[in-house]
Amino acid sequence: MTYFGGMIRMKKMTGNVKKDERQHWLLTESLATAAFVAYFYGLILLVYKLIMTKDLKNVYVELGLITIMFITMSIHRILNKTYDIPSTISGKVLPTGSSKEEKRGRIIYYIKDSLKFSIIFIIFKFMWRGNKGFLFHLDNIFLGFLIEGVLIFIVIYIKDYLWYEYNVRRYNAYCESLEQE
Amino acid sequence: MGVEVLKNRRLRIARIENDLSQEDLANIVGVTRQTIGLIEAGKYNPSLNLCIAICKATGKTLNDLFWGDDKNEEDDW
Repeated sequence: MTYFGGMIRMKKMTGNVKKDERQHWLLTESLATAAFVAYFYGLILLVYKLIMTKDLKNVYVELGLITIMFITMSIHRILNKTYDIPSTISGKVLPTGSSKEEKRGRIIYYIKDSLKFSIIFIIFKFMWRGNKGFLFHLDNIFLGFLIEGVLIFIVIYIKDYLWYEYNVRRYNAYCESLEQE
Repeated sequence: MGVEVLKNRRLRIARIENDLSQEDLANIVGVTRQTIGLIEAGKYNPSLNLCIAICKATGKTLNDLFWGDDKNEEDDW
């Protein structure tokens, strides 16, 4: 038995003795659920306070909490080589290949995602600031909303495309490296 | 990620015998290609349910794919 083989067997044996895997799993799951609830509670509180008070100073605590949680999750994902791959609401990962069909599928996802975000953003902006625009103000309210919506759509689409395609490339490279091992 | 496991060459061979890519097998058993790659590379310890699903997809038994054969596995290290 080699040194590494021996070490792994030792770890297996001690790992089984020290902790009950069911309890360990339950603990992990309950902590993850608590974090998930806290994250969305903070997010809802932030939006509610922002709409009610219309002042960013009132949401510094919630903003800080959400940012810290987001950074923590991101670090955890990076350390565990979990890539941000586009996936459906049900959690199904979209194809990550480079064929035309697979790319088209991902682009449709980016368009849908950008459209959803733009609509939510415009509704939220209306509730927060009313007719006032973020970037500029037009007398024609409808036109103002439309231009801002389109601008947000373009920004989010470019962000989605660059970010997800970068992750897809890294994901494929990592899977290839695993296959070569 | 739990305890480390040894490289699973038998899974890789069974997959290739069935003419399946990692992505094909991943789609059949409902996981990502990364998960299959990690199992084959011995970097992820799959649940029993996933082991069973993989066995069904490859037409093998748990013994064939996941029961440790110390002598052979040690050669990997």
